[in-house]
Amino acid sequence: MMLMQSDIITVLLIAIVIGLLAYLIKSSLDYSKERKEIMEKESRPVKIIAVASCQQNDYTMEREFREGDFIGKIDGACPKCGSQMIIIKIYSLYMETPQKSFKLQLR
Amino acid sequence: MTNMQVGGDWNTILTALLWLVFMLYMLSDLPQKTQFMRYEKGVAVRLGVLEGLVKESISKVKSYLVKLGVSSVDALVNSTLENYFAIEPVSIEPTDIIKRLDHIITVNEDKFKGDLRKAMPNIGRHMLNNIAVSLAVTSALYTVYKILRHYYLLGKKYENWILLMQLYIALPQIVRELLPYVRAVETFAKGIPIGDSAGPMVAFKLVGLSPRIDIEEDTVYSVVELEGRKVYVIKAKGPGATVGKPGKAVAKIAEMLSYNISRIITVDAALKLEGEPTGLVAEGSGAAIGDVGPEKIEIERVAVRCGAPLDAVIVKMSNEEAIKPMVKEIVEGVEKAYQMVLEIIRNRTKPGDNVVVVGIGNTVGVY
Repeated sequence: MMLMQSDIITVLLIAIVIGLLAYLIKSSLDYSKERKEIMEKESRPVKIIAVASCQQNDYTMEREFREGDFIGKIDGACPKCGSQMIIIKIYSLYMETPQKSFKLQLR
Repeated sequence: MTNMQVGGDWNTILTALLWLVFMLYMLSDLPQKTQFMRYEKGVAVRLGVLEGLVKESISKVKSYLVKLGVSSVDALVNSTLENYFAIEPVSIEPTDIIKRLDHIITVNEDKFKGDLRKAMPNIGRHMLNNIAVSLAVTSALYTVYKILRHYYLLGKKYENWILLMQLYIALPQIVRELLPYVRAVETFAKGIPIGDSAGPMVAFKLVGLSPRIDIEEDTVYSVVELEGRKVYVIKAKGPGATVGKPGKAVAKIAEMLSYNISRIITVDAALKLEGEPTGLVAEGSGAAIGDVGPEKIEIERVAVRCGAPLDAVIVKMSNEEAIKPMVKEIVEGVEKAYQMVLEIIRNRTKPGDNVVVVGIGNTVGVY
């Protein structure tokens, strides 16, 4: 009985020491992990889209932004009516990164 | 018997060890020293991240300048990082403080742009503005880094754990808020519209490609007719990165129209509160402009002198969205703000009235 009680206390003490050591290692590893996470989050790929519209409003075209583009730039002629195409919007989109989904389909 | 002895030995050692740790923890300053080391290490790691960001931003600007064929890039960038600080005017005597502040800001800006023009004589105005803003962003990043490093080294030097603890707590937020500035360097250099371009974009939607008339440095206006009203639309001169001088432009237009203005509408990007959606449009009263004072006061003075109501239309966004490439939600907000401005003109002015609309913000990537 006494042997068993002594073993339980020893196991408990070992568990506490191991737990403290694990916490120590984990907290020191967290610093480097944090830096990696911040950098990954900020470097999500972004796509810049330029939207050009015909002056007669009968045609709209979307394409990737090219250096030198700006809102108000004349961007060629309309393929429908031949009037000027003007860039009216430029905006950014986060590009989707392929992720495995484990969601259950409930339908 | 042997088992019990072994178990008993381990038990004794571990108990003694835990007692030792307990005594050290309770009766010595070891916890404070350990905490100090943890704060010091945490701040050092985060400052390292920030240093990396500053270096990245400096190298981006330098590579862009090299691409443009600028000579002595290192000297130019280094001098920008250390120079061009402005000292606030004396505020204990408030007479003429706005004029003095405006004078200091103008002198500093002129000196900066003058030096850039000397270093890059063959570069066009819009490109020069883009480079100036990219350099200013890098310089701001570097200044923040220098200040934080100063407090970190002070804390270490005097073992001031309260100073280090404050830095340890504040740095994650500061690093996260500064990250968009690194990307902003590239955005400005490429001339991509940012969130803050919402005001100039509304102005563009009002005037389209109508002629831009220079009225102040880096500031233009266009006149459009809207259901019998004459609308004077003021914005910074695009598509280079500049905010212009909208306040002084409003003052000049008012003088030109002999102060016969029925309404002044300012449109600007505004900081949203956490939880508010990006691109939310709201309307209020006053001058929607975030400068330190000289431009805002000009608009307010003109409104008072003309007896004209002063409307503020804002497109809400976060601090980082304001300097990042414009997101779709803000583009949708711009459309709503444009409709709101049209509604104000139609419902609160009469045909024959003169209306002034000011698109406040950085006009990078917007003509």
